[in-house]
Order: sequence, then structure tokens, then C-alpha cells
Amino acid sequence: MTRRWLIDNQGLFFMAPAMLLFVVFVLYPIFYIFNASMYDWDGINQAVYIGIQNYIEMFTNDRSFGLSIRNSIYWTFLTIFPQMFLGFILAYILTSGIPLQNVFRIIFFMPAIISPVVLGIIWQRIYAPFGGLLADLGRETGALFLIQPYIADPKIAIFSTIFVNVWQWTGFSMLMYVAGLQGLSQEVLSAAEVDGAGTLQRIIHIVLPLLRHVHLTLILLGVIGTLQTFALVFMLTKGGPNHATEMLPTYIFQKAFTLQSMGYASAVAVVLLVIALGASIFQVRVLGSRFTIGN
Amino acid sequence: MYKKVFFVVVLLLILAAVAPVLAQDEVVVRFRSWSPVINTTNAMIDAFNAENPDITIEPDITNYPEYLVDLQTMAAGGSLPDLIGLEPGALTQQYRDHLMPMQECAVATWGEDWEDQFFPVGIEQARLGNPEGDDNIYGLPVLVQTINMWYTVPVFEEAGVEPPTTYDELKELADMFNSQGVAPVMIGAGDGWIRRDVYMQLIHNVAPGLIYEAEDGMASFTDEPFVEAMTWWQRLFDDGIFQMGALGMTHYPAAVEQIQAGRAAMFPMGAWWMQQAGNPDPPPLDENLSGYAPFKFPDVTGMGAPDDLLGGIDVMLGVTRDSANPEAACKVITDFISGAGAQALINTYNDLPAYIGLRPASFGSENQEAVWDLFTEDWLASVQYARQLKSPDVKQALEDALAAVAAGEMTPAEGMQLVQDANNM
Amino acid sequence: MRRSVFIGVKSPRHIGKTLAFVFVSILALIWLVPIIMMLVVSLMPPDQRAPRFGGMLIKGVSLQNYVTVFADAEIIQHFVNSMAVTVPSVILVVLISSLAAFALARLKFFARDIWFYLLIMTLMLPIPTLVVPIFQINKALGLNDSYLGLILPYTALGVPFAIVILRSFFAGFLREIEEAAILDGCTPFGIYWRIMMPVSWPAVAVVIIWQFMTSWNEFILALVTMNSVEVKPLTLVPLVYSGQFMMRPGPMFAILTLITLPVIVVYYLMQRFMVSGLTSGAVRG
Repeated sequence: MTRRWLIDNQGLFFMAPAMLLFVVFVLYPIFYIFNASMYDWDGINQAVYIGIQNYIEMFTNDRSFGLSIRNSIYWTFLTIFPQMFLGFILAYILTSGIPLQNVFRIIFFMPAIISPVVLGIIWQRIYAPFGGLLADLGRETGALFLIQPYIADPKIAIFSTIFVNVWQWTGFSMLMYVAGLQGLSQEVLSAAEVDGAGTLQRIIHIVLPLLRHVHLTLILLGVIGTLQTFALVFMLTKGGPNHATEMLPTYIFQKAFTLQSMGYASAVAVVLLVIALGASIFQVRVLGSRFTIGN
Repeated sequence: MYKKVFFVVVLLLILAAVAPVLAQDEVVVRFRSWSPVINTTNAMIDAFNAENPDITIEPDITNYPEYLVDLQTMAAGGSLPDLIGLEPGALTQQYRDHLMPMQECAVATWGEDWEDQFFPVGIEQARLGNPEGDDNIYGLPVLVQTINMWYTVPVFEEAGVEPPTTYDELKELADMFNSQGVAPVMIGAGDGWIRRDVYMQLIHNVAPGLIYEAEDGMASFTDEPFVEAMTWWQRLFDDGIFQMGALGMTHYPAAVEQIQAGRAAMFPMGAWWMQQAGNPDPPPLDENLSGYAPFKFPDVTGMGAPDDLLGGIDVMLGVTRDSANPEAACKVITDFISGAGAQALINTYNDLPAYIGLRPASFGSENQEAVWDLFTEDWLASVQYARQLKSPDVKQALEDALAAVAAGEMTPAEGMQLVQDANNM
Repeated sequence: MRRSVFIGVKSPRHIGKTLAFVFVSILALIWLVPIIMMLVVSLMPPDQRAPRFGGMLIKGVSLQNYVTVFADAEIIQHFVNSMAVTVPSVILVVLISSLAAFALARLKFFARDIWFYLLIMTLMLPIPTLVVPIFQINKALGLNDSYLGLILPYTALGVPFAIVILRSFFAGFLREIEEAAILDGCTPFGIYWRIMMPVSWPAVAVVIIWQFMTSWNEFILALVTMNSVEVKPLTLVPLVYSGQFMMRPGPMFAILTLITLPVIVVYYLMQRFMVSGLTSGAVRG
């Protein structure tokens, strides 16, 4: 390795710390999991090599895996877009100079910084059909539709769980849009106003396109959030009832530790990894690589 | 600005690296478990150290699910602590190769006839799932239990009723309590273990002992008695015996809070419910256990309720092969079972002692003492069958099937097919 | 200005603002319900139970739960531990990822694109899938039960996202400034450190907030890595003590409140800076 080569490649020095951490704490674990996925292994005792048997089982005969995939798709679409929509509306109002707007911003953002461990425990009390907040409100006020088996009915449990997630993360979307909106030059906005464009038209034709970078960042964060969803589901429903709210990370966790199938859990993790890889490449290549704040 | 940042980073990294340096002079026994709770464990350690100041116990108590992760990760990394909490069956079997046989320690402490000094169910279940020919005991039972029903005394007294013994009586009570806004039978059926506990009592009513044969392949989970028990399970929901939306509540803490507030007439639980009286700041019903009394699961099927209850080991302790101080670990375990540590444990009414003859230092009420005697002298001696199942997969399948049937997603027959499929694997 | 809202309607604009204010107020109240519930239950007298409305109605107020929690759990110590893990991981992520992002955006070197794709591949890796191997690496490096055992993995897993954000921010810089700096004899490190970083606060602010939240709230890896009470972070407290407090909602919710307050305070202190940081970036673009 010559001195010349090192000078031409001095970028490698900049990369070195990131690469080192990456190799030790990310690349090695990935190989470990990939290897483990080929075994029938309880995580402790002697492992038996079974080739791709875990994968065959997963794709042909595993309802819970299928449900996790279905739920991830629900989760992606039903959290990202409602959060962006509501977040934008709030941001628009909270940059228009109404009283107490800083207080409101803090209120809406607060759930995003609270630990999902905490939120899961609280929301159980809100959803509880007997003695829970919503059910008792329904009984006292006569609004009987409020009495629902929110997380007891497999048909609606996933949506109740997603709702909590939307509640948690809307404030984050709002904050990103607040920053984006404050950055738009006032001239652009007032010029449109002089033209006589109505508020709605101004938003749709001028404001929203100018915030493209914020949309993209939020989508990226939304997909990351979906594929990593663990703590909220783990604390709120444990993936139940009957796997109706199972997500890939909670399913991996259950297989690996509760059901003593570390090999199978690793195979599910590899699938999750492949999905993550696909999603990352899609995001960077198709949606454009410029996820950023500002410009 | 950036120079300062660098300086701060370096400082923090050094701090982080130096922080936890512990003295290693004395004999240290590392103890991990999910039970007993941390304050009780600390009290047991204090009692132990009063007599054995030379052994330091380092406890680490976490919730059960997190405990499993912790244990498995450490086992895979070859660094298990000296002493670990175990459940009989699947969990103990998973760690069998990492555990030391405990007979030698037991004989040294209690003599050759040591097994007679324990309730029989404790000894039998300690071997649950051992392969043919392996008679070793890999964990010694600390606490044992029954599973049964409880009722809330003031609620029953106010209504002027007695605990039900048949399904018709149960249904009649349910209708009455439902109209009063009281949960007839409060269950947090969102937790899999309590679903399974109730089903185990139902199948015990229909065909005692059959489920253990099915586990061993000598009967099928799709056989008529299993489906019938599952049908009764479904009826408990459909007939309003359980409170509304039971499937969306956890047993701990959601259902428990309602029970403590007096909003439940009856509830499935186990002997461990006595520990309510040992908690600090108890609500009125918990105080000295004055508000609750146990009763046997009613004879819902009308086939005649069996005299015995289901039960087994609550928690047992094992010494790992990684342990550097097995003698010290043996000393700690046996003290927690029958010595000063055990007395400290029993004084909190945590559960029933596996070692015969221990009694809490004092009782707060006659009811509390009567309940204790009923469990230890009457019920526990007749426990034959386990509350636990051997295979984690069958256990999970049963819990899933119970949820699916309760939610109306599956028929009882389909649900039992799911369990049999898991057993075939 | 505001008076006109009450005296008489002067323009459609005021109607709109009033409506917006009402809408946001109602929504904010709904938004606050879970947080209020947490506070209310934590203030419930310890021998009481709140079986109705999820605990929103209590008889009497008591601080006893907080006294209990502080007596039974080393809350301050756990808080310090959380800080000792979170702050270094945030700083390391910013430094390491900005270096790498600069190289990826501005320098040419061997296998650059391969490295980039490898890094973003791990953008969405959930920690629960990696617990076992990471534990083993920590063990080999002797990092279990120490802050570094969490700082390094959190940093490693946080770096890819930060690189994506920072790289595209750096890529948006004008080449001219850089070229002028090179003519002045500035090294690549000089460009990174003296020219790029000082004006990159908007992007760095996003990275800081995101990494702070993920490091602060992670609990599975923390659970297996941290054995002794002296190093356990705050998020583990409900797990460790819930066996004991689960049946006592008061102390349980006092703990939940105590976990939550510091993050809210940190956010409150940072938020003005954060929004203006985010905005200044947008203005520049």
C-alpha cells in the first residue's frame, strides 16, 4: 500500500470509525443470525443442521408469520399517512400565530419522547373494557359505541394498536412540518395570496410541493419505525389475541425466548433483514436519496 | 466549540469505562430469578447473611418474560449466574445440561430421607420432563401452589350467597352480579397463562389426567373430552360468566386492580393470592386477607368434581455448572428453602412452602390463618396433577387456541386440532 | 388584534383563527388524556384502587407513592445511568456519522458505494433480533455490565440513519466554497471541521433528537447487558420492580412519571433551539 494510494483514499480514514463499529456490532451479528437460521436450535443446547427447513416451514405453514407480514403492511400505511396528514394540519395551524402555539407544540410532541414501556401500560387502562376509560365514559354518557373490545377482538386489535402509534408520533411529524413551514419564504406565500388563491389551493399547489423533503424524511422514518416496532406491541398486547397484533420483531422475540426456537427466530430475522434491505434501497433509489431537513 | 465537544466525549468514555469496578475478595453468589420479588429477596438475603456473613449474594430480579431473555442470552454466552430460578418442565429441561444435580446438596443438608420432608408434588414435579433413566433433581422446590377459585367475601355476604358448586348455580350468580355491575368471574384473559389455568381445571373436571396422556401421545387432543372442555370454556364467555371484554385485559395488573377494588365476585387465581396480605399499603380487602376466601372450581360439567386440585411448583432454584462456588450456592438454596431465608420468605405469605412444617411468624386475622391451614393441611397434600405442560409449543398452541375460541375465530374442535398439530411436531 | 375576536367579527381571517384555536385546543386536551391519567394515578393514595375510568377519578391526593418509589428504588442512580449511556452515544453518533457522511458525499475512495449500501442496509435493523450476538461480542470485549456495552451498540445501530440524513445535507453544499478553501490550503478534514460542520446544525439537531430518544428508550439490550443496579438505566425500572409494584398502581405510575419527566424537561429545554435549528436549515435551502 503506497503513500500515494493512501492520499487518494483518505476518505477511508473518515469512514474508519463507522466501519469498525459496523463490522463488530452489525455485520458479525448478521452473519451469526444467518448461520443460526440453518439450525434447529433452542438457543442453548446442541444445534442440529437442517438447511433451509426453517424457511420452508415459515413460508408454507406459519399463520403467525403471515399475520406479522399483514400487520406490517397495515402498520406502514395506517401510521405513516395519517401521521403526516394530521401532523401537517397541526403544523399549519401552529405556525399561523394563534395564541399559545408553543404550548400546543409541546403538548403534541410529548408522546413521541415517552418510553413505549410507559405508553403500553397507560393505554391498557384506556382500552380496558371493564373499568377502562373509554368503556366507562361510554356507560356514563350513553355513548355506547365507546364500549368496544379494543384489544380483545382479533379483528380490531391491530387497529387499536396502530392508533396508539399514530397518537404517539403525530407530534413528531408536526414538528418536522413546523420547521419546514417556517423555512418557506413569506414572499412565496403572500404572492400567492395576492393572486387571490384560496387557502386550500395555496396549500395544495404551493406549500405541499415545497415540503417534499419533509414528506420523504417522514416516510423514511415511518418505514424504519414500522420494521422496528417492538416495545409498544410487547407492552400493550404481547402480540395477541391469538397473534392478531403480532409484528415481526415481537414474533422473533416470542419464538427465540418464549418458545425456545432460536434457529427459527433467526430465520424470521433474516427475512426481516431482507425486507429492510429492500425497503432501504427502494427509499434511497426510487424516492430519491435526498432525505434531509432544509434545502 | 468542537474542541470542547471532543474533550467532553473523551471524558465521558473514560468515566464509562471506569465506573463499575466491584470488589471480588469474598465469596459471591450471583442469583437471578423472576420470583420472589426484589424486596422479599432482599429480606431473605438479610436473614441469610445474619447467620452467614462470609457469603455475599448478588440478586437480580426481573419480570418473567425478560428473565427468560436474560437467562438464554447468558447461557448462550456461557456466563450463567450461580443460582437461577426455574419452573418445572420445559424451562428446567432446556437448561438441564447447564445445571448440577442437587441430591448431594439435599442429602448433606436434610439427610437421606430428605424427600419426605417436602410436599410430594414438589419432588415429583422437580423431575418433570426428565429423559428416561435420569432421576436427577436439577432444581429444588422453594414454593409450591394450587390453582383454584377465590371469591370476594363482602360481595358474597352482601348478596347473601354461597360459592357455586354447579354450572347452574354459577350461571344464576352471574346473572345477578352482572345486573349489579359486578364482574361475576373476573379474568384477565389477555394473559395466556390464566386462560390455560382455567382450561386445565375444566379438562380436569371432564377427564382427570387425560391431558398428560395426550402430551405423551397416548391420547389425542382432538378427542371428545378435550373438545368438550373447550366448549365449556367458550360458554363461560358466551353466557356472561366472565366479565365483558375479558380477552382485552391482563390478569396482572388490570384484573387484579378490579378485584382489589371489590368489583369482582369471583376470580381464578391460586394459592399465591395469599401474598396480597404481605404487600405494603394494602387496600381494605387485602388487609390480612380479610376480604377473600378460596373455593374449588365448580363442577361445571355435572360429572362430579374431583377432590384433588391442580398445582405444582411455583419456583424452584438450581445451581449452574458455571458456578465457581457450588458449596456456597448449596448453602444459599437450602437456607432459602428451610432456613432463616425461608422463614423471611414465608412471613410475606408469598406462596406455600415446598418444605413441610414452615409457618408464617404471625397471622393478621383468623381468616388468613384458616386459609393457610386449608391449603397446607388439606388441599396441597392431595395435589396429583401438574398445572404446567411439558412442551412450550403445546402450551403456546393451547393458549392461542383458547384465545381464538373465546374470540369466536375458531370452533372448539378447530382449536383442539391446533393443539394436536403442535404436539405432532 | 385578539380583542376583535370577542367584540365582533372583523374579517374571515379571524374566524378562521378562532376556529383553528378551538380545534387545536380540543385536540390537545384529548392528546393529554393519557399523560394526565399517568399523573393522576401516581397521586392516588397508596391503599386506594381506581377501578373506574381507567383511574381518572381518585379520592384524595397523596405524594406517598413517590416517597415509596424513592425509598425502594435508586431512581437518581438509574437516571444518571441513563444519561451516562445516552449522552455519549448521541455525541459519538454525531461525530462518527458526520465524518463518514462527509467522506461519502465529498471524497472518492476505494469501494465507496459498497460501503454506503452496506450501511443503509442496516438502517432498519431492529435490536430484538440482534440481542444474542451483541451480548456475545460484549462478553468477548468485557463490556457487559458497563456503560460502554450499551454506548457502542447504540452508536453502531444509530450511525446508518445519521449518515443518510447528514450525507444528503452535505451533498447540498456549494462546491465553490469548498474549492476556494482547497486553494487556501485547507485539508479535507479542515473542510469538514471548519466549513461544513459549523453550518450543519439543522441536520445535526435532527440526528441528536432522534438518537437521544432511541438510546433513552431502548430496553431489551439494556436488560441483558446491565446486571447490577449501579449501571441499570431508567427504562429497566418498571421491568425490575413491576413484580413488586404491578399490584400497586400508585407506585407503578409514580415510576412511569419519573421516567417520563426528564425526557420532557430535556425536550422543553431544547425545543426552541431545535425548531429554530431545523428552520434555519430550511431557510438556507
